[in-house]
Amino acid sequence: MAAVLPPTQAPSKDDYAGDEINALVLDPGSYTTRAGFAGEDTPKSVTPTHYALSKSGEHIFGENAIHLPRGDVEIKNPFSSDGLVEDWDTAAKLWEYAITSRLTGARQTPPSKNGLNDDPVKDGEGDTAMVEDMEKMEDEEQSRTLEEYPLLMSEPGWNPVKAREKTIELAMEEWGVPAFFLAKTGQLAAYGNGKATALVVDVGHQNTSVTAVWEGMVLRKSIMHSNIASSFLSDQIRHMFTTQQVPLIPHYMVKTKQPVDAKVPSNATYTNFDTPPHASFRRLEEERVLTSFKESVVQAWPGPGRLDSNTDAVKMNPARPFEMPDGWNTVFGPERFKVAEGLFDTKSAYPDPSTNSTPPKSDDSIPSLMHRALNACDQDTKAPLLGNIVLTGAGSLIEKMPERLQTDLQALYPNPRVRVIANSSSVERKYGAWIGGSVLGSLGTFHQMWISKEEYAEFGAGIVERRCK
Amino acid sequence: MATGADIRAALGSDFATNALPSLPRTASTQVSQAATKNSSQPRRHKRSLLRRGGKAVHWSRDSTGVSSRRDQLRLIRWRRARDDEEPFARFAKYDVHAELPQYDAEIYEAHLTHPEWTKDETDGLMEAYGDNYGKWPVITDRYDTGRPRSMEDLKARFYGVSATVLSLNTPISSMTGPQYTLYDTLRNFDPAKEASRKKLAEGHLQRRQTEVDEETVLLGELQRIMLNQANLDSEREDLRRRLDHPLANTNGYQYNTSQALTQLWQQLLQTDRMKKNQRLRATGNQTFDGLPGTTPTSARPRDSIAGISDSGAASGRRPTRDSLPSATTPGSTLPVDMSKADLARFGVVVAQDKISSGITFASDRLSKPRIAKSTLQTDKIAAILTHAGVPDLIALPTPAVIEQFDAIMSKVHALLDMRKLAEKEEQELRVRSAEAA
Repeated sequence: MAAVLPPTQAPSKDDYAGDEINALVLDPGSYTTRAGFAGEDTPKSVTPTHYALSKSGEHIFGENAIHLPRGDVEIKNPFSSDGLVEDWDTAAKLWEYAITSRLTGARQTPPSKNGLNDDPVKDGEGDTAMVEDMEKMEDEEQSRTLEEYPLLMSEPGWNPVKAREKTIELAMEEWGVPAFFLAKTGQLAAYGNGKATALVVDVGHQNTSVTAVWEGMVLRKSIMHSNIASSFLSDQIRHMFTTQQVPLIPHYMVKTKQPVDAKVPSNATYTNFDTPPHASFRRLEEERVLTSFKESVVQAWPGPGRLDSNTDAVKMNPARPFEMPDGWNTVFGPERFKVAEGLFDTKSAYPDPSTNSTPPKSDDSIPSLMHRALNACDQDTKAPLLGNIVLTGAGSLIEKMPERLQTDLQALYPNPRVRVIANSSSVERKYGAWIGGSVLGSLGTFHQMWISKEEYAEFGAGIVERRCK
Repeated sequence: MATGADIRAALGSDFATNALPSLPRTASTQVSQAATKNSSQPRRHKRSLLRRGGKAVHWSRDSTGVSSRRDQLRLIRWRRARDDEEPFARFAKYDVHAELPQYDAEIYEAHLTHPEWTKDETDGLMEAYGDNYGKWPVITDRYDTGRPRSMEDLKARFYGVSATVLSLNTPISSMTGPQYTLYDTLRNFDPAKEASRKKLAEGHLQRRQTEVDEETVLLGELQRIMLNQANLDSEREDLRRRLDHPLANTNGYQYNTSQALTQLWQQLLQTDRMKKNQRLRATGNQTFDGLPGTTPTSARPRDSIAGISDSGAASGRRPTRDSLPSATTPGSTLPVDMSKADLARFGVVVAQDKISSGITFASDRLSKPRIAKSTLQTDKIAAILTHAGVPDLIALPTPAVIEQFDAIMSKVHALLDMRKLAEKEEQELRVRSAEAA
C-alpha cells in the first residue's frame, strides 16, 4: 500500500499516520463482544455474547442482566460452535446493544412507552394520528443511533461469503452506517501487535485460529481453525473434575458456607429457588468458576518435550489450592498441567467420561494448526513467519503457553529462528483484534478503503468480497 | 474537547467567585491577580499539565471528503481550527499502486499468446497483481482462475508478458541502460531454477536437530578459533611494536637499552654508596654492578648500539667522571671466552711477558728490529735480509709471521756478531803475521 520503509526504521514525525475520525470498531466474539471508538487503547464496551431469552421472547443483554438467577429465562448464544453467527436477528440486536449501551448513548425510550404521553383522557380520533406520528419518530430514532460513525467490524477468517454479505447488509440497511469495513481478526491482531508480517495464533472461546499475514495482507489458504480453544479447556477441566470427584457448584447456588479442610465435603447451605434457573444458566455460571480456575490454577507445561515424558519434573512443581464457591477445596498437582496438555497434544487429553464421543483429532492441536498453516504458505515466507508468531486471544492467557508453543515449534522446525510474541499485558492479549481494528480505523491511509453508503448502493452487498480481502 | 486553557479559565473563574464570595469585588480581583502573579513565577516543582502552554488552541469539529475517493463519503474529525490543510493530502503519497504492463486484445493475439495460458487467465493474473500490490506470496494465495499454478508459473508468465510489452513499447535498440537491465532480468527468469532453489530452501528449513546441533558446534568452534586468532594477533602486534619501536635518539626515554639501564643502575649505585644510609642493594652480579673503584663502562665490549646509548647519556646529563670512557686502563679488554680456533683466527695472543705501556702495532715488530743504532749496521741488516729474501714491507703481521721474523732476525743478529768476531780475528792475525815477518 505504502512506500516500503525498512522494518527497523521508524517513520518520521511527519509521517504520523493517525487521523482519528471517531470510527466505531466492533469485534464480535462468541464469548464477549468488544466495541469502542477507533484510536482508543481498549474497547469501552465489553458485553458478554451470551444473552437471556425470557419466556415472553424478550432478549436481555448485558453482564448485569444475564447473571441474575431467574427461573423464566434461558441463556443462549447466537454463535455456532464454529465461531460463526447462527442467529442473525439476535446477533444484530446484541451488537447494537454493545455499541449503544456504552458508546453512542442509549436509545431514547420510545415516546409511546416513556410515560410522558400517557394521556388518561382519550379524546377519540386525535389519538390515532398521534400514535402514528410517534411510531414514525421511533423509527427515525432507531436509525439515528448508529448512522453518525463509520463502522469497522472484524470477522473470523473462515467467514463464508453469505455471512459477510449479511453483515454489510445489516450495517448498511438496518443501522445505516455511513461507511463500513470488514477485516479478518488475524490481520487485525497482527496490526495490533505492530506486525505487518506475522503468523497469528488467536485462541478464542470456541475456536483457535491460525492466520498468516504477509505484508499486511491475509494469506487465505493459510487460515486454519479448530475448536481446541478455551471452551475445550473448560470441558477438559470438567472431565478432570468428574474423574477426581470434584463437585462443581456455581456461586449463585451457595447461600452461606463454612471453611472446611481439604477434600472434606463442604459445609454450606444452598439457595432454594421456587422456579430453579434453567440448566443453561447453571452452565454459564459454572463457566465463571472454571474461568477463575483457569486463571489461578491451570498451567501449561512449558517444555521441552511433552507432559507425559516429563512426569517427574511436573511433580517437582508445587501444587496449587483451589476452593469451590461452596467451600470444598483441595490442591491440584499434576492435574493442573494435564488439563492444558490437550491444547498441544490431543492424545493426552482427558476423555469424555459421560459420552463415548470421539476424541479430538491430533492435527487440531495448536502446534499442528500452525504447522498446517505454514505448509499452505510459500517456501520463502515460512522463515519470516516463524520469526513473527503473534499469540493473542483471551484463551492464550494460560500460564506458560507462549513458552510451550515456542519449544514445540522450535522442535518442529529446529533450523529457523522461532519467536513467539505474546504481549505481557493481559488486556492487549484479550482485545488483540479489537486494538488492531482501533489502529486500522484511525489510520489516515485507511480512509480511502471504507465502503461508503454510496458504493453499497451502487454495487450491492457483493462489494464486500471485492474490497475487504 | 476542552483544552487546558478552557479548563483553566473555567477553574480560575469558579475559584475566584466561589472561594471568596464575601470579599468586595476589587479585593477578589486583587487576590486573583496575586494568584496569577504567583503562578507565573518560576516554581521549583513541575508545572501541572493544565497550566502548560501559552494561548488556548481552538479546535473545530468538521467533516471533509476524502480526496482519493470517487464518492461523497464525509468523515468527521476534530482538528485545529486554523489548520487549513486538507487532512487527506498528507496521506496521498502513500496511495501507491503496482505498475502493470498494458496490452490490448490485438497485442495479445500478436505477441503474448502462450500454449498454457488463455487470455482470461492472463488478465486474471494481471488483475491479481494489481489488487495485491505485486506481493507474490499474496498473489499466489489469491489467484484462482482455472487450473492450479505455482508461484513460479505465475511469475514466469507475468515476467514474460512484462518483458514483451516492454520491448514492444521501446525497441531493444533504443532502450536505456536501466530499461535494458530490467528487460534482461525479466526475460531471463527461469521457473525451473527458482523451483529447485525453493526445494533446496525447504530442505534447509526441514533440517534435523542433529544437523542443526552440528552446525552450532562448528560455528562455536570457528568462533573460538577466531577469538584465539585475534588474541594471538594482538599479542604478536604488541611484540612487534615493542621490537620495532623507533629509537628516539634525542629527547625520548633514555634508558631504552639494557646498556643504558645498566649504566643508570651503576650511576645510582655509585652515588648511593657515597651516602650514609644506603637504599640500593647491589645485585651481586659483577656485570651489572661493576667493580667498586673501577670504571665500569670501559669494561663492556663495544657493540653496535653503544654509540647511541653513549650519545643519549651524553645529551641527557653531564657525564660524570666515572662514566667517561677511559683508554688508560686496558684491564680485561680481552674477550675471555674464545675458542682456540677463534684465537688463532683473530690473531689473539696472550702475552706472557710484560708489555710496554701505550699502543703498539703488530707491524712495528716487523719494522723496528731492522733499524740498528748506526746506519752502517742498519745497512748491513738490510743487506742480509735482502739476501735472505725477506721483503722490506710485510703486508700482514700475523703472530706466525712475527714469530718467524723474530727467528730470522735473531739469526741475522747472530750472523752479524759472528762476522764482527771473524773480522776482529782476521785483523789480529794480520797484525801478528806482520810482526813476525
